[in-house]
Amino acid sequence: MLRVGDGSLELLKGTLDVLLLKTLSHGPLHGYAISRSIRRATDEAFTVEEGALYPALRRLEKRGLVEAEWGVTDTGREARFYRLTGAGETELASGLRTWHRYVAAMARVLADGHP
Amino acid sequence: MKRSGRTGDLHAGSVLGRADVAEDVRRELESHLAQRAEELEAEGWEPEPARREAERLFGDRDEVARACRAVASSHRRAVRRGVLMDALWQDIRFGARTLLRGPGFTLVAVATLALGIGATTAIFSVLNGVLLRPLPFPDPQQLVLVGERAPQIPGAEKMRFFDTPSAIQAWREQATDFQAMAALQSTSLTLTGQGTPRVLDGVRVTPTFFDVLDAKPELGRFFVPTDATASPRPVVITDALWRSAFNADRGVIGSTVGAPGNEVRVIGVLPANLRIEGSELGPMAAGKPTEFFTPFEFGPDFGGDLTSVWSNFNYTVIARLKPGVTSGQALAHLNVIQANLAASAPDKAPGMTLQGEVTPVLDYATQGSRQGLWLLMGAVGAVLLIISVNLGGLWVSRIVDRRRDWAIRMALGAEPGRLARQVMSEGLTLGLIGGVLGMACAAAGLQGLLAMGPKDIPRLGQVQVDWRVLAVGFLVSATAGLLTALLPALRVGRGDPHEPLKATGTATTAGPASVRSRQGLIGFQAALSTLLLAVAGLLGFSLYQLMTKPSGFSTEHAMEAKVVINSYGRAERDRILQQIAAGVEAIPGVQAAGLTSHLPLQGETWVDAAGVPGKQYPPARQPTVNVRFIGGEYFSTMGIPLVAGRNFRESDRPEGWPPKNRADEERMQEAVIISEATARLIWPERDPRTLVGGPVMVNGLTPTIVGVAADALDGSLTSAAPAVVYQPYWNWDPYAFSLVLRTALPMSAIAGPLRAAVWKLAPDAPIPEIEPLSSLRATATAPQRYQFTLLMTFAGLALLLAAIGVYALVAHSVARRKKELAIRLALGAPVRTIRGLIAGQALAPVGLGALVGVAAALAIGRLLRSLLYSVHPANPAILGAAAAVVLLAAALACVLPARQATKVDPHVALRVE
Repeated sequence: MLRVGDGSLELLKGTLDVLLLKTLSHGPLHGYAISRSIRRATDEAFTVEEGALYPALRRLEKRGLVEAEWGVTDTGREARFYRLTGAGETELASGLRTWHRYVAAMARVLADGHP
Repeated sequence: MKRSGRTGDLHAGSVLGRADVAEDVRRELESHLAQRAEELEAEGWEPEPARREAERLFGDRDEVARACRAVASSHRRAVRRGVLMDALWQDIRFGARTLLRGPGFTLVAVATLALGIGATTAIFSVLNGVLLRPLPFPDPQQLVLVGERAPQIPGAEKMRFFDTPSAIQAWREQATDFQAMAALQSTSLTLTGQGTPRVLDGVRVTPTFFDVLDAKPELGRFFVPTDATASPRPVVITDALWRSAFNADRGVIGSTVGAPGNEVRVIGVLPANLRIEGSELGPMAAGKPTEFFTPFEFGPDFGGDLTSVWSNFNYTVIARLKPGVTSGQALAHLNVIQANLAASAPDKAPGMTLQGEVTPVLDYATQGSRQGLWLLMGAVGAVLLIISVNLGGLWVSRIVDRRRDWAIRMALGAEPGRLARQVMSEGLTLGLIGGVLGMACAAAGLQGLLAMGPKDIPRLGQVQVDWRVLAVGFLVSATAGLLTALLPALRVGRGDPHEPLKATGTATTAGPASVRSRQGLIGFQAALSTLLLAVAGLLGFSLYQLMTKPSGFSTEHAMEAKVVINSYGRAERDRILQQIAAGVEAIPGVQAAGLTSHLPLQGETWVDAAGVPGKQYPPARQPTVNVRFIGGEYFSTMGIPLVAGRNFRESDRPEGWPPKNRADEERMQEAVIISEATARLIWPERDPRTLVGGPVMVNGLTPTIVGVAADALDGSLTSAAPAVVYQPYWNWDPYAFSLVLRTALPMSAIAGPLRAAVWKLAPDAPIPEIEPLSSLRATATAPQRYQFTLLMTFAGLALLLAAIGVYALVAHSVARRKKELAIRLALGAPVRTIRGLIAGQALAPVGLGALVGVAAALAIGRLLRSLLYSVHPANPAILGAAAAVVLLAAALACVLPARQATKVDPHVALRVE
């Protein structure tokens, strides 16, 4: 579902959820705003097919990590707003810890050149 | 944006229909595309290319939508479940709080519901244990009894599942619908050497018996073909006998027990959970415990008549159908075999035909108790219905009293539907609490109910509270609770908030709708009470008829004792029979004693052909009589008068007795005494007294009639006195007999000397029962008394509840109409008129209800007929009395509140806001 754009970074499996939760950690956003935010925050480093966000959001909703509600955007359009739940915050914290450990370990290995 | 409440609330985002999910997803994706295009346009794109670019960047829209829908749908289902449970839980908590605020009503409701549900559960557990619980064997529905029907034989309809060896052998060879088949016959065994001699009831079976049941032994083994002729006879015993007689000793396998000359070898023990009741094994073992099994075979050593098609109907066949074969198919094939058998019979009889019968074992075992149990179930269900309706009425009046409370809640935005749901959950809560209490009481009281039960209800000893009883108990509890809440829920559900607010507390009369609905409830209760009382009355009158029906014998100061002498040889048995009556008569205080092969009221057995000597009767017209063997002063002890002739004398015993062959036997059957019914049957035109000294044909022999005895109820209480032929005891070779004695001494004083007198002659003879003769009738009417007692209890309860309902309605209406009544009184209305006005409000629906109840009793009369004796189900006196009792109870219930109505002080009443 996630396709890597030309000359762009590959989004690691399982990291999209953390990315979405992180994006929502600043406050409720609708789907398009999430997509735009990720695009901007990563300087468009990841080229994700924009549609791919939505099934992922629905899965987070089903797992109770986010809640959704219809609302109206600043431009007056109806949109579905997502909000992080308590469970979502916990999940985000644990996802971040895992990510940092992963990055640190990779960095150590790659810097020293030892397998 | 609008903030959502907590998850699980009924907001639009959470609970969506299937179509709504698709729409929700479509809108979300469309929103994204529109905003993306907008942004691109802001960057300078033309609208149409911008839209196309937005769609390209989005990817496969259908695929994304499908994936979203899949996730969202499964989410929706989970949420919806959660929401419903949440709402229910909320309602129940709220309901519990409301109920606690009205503890009086709650207490009454829970207690009466517990009573009704407890009684319903208890009766259902009996019904379940007796009628519904499957037999404890694999694939029990395949087990059938196989029988013969010879419609031309008189009394054939009563002779079900009595089969001849010739037919059984033909079935074994030719019938292909059965996996296995076994013949059986009841028998008994005397256990001596362990204190008091004890007689065991058991069954003789062909060796395939346990293959038919598909049972495995707990200890030892079951039968193999060679066991049929083994000596000593092998026996398989039940777990209960193994424990009671052998202290659960595993070493009993292979040991020899029993009286000398009659030893048996124990070869196996049945598992504890495998209880086989006599009633499940056909007519012969019915009503007896089954404690052991011993094998036999229709082989060379059989000794009985193996070839006659028309006699020796002395066996029952149990068989297991092949999988997929129905009783109907098996019967069709069996009828063919039977027709061939009748055609090829060595003792061919013109005009006689043979048919078969195949009935599932469980149907046979429960046929006698089915109707009675369903009747009780219906009655207890009616009581529970009355309880629910009554509480519903009470509840409505509470709502009416507090209607401003409800109106305010409605005005504050509570929807009528929501309030109705609230009431229903309160009802459910009441029902479940009452149910749990009731079921606990039922489980505790069940043993009492069973102890009260007559012995002839099969499988009663195995009744228990199992999962099915619990499941039905909960279902009944929930239903009763919801039913209780139905009327009040309808009342608040249709509520118009303005109506009660407009009507201030000073309303002079109760709303007509509320009064009408409560009157309807009263009428309904009156109808059900009348119906129950009418049925109870019919059963009670039947019982009265049975208890007072002249039996032809006198039970006052008379006792009976059963003596088993099967551990003695033929000559010894004859000596015991000869001397025992005199031995018992010698006991001080005993006025007379006699013996008989069959006590009265034990059913018609030992039926033989009889008639005018030399006369050829067509098969269907052949008279049949019950043969009884008697000794000593049987007639005077029983109080059966001899209308002509005399009792047997020892000198009637022929020269050279005992007979050595058939010719001897014919010569030696010299004297009989016939009953008046026999005389009427064989010689309808002759005065019975003139028959003494003449011959009569009985079972092919022609003895001389020495006496004619008055009729006695020798068969059953529900049928007329049967034709009986009495023969002297020496023509009979019994394994057990009954002593009868007449004495003014109490049971406790006579039992010891009686045992001593018997054991002096026969030290190894078990005496399994000593009872007053009156117990014969008590035992014979036990099922009727059981039904009547329970039904009368239920009817009484229904009546009481209906009266309480009437009282509550009238009292409530008096309280609410205080002002109106005060005005009427002040204007000079006579007290009598006021009272009539108040009472009439309740008595009119009760009268109508009683009429409906009588009509219902007439409608179900046909179903009752088999439970009634000598009373027509439409007996006008009984039905009228039931209606009158209900009306009287309702009138009494009106008295107090109606008196209060006229004691209203106008000054006070009019000042009450």
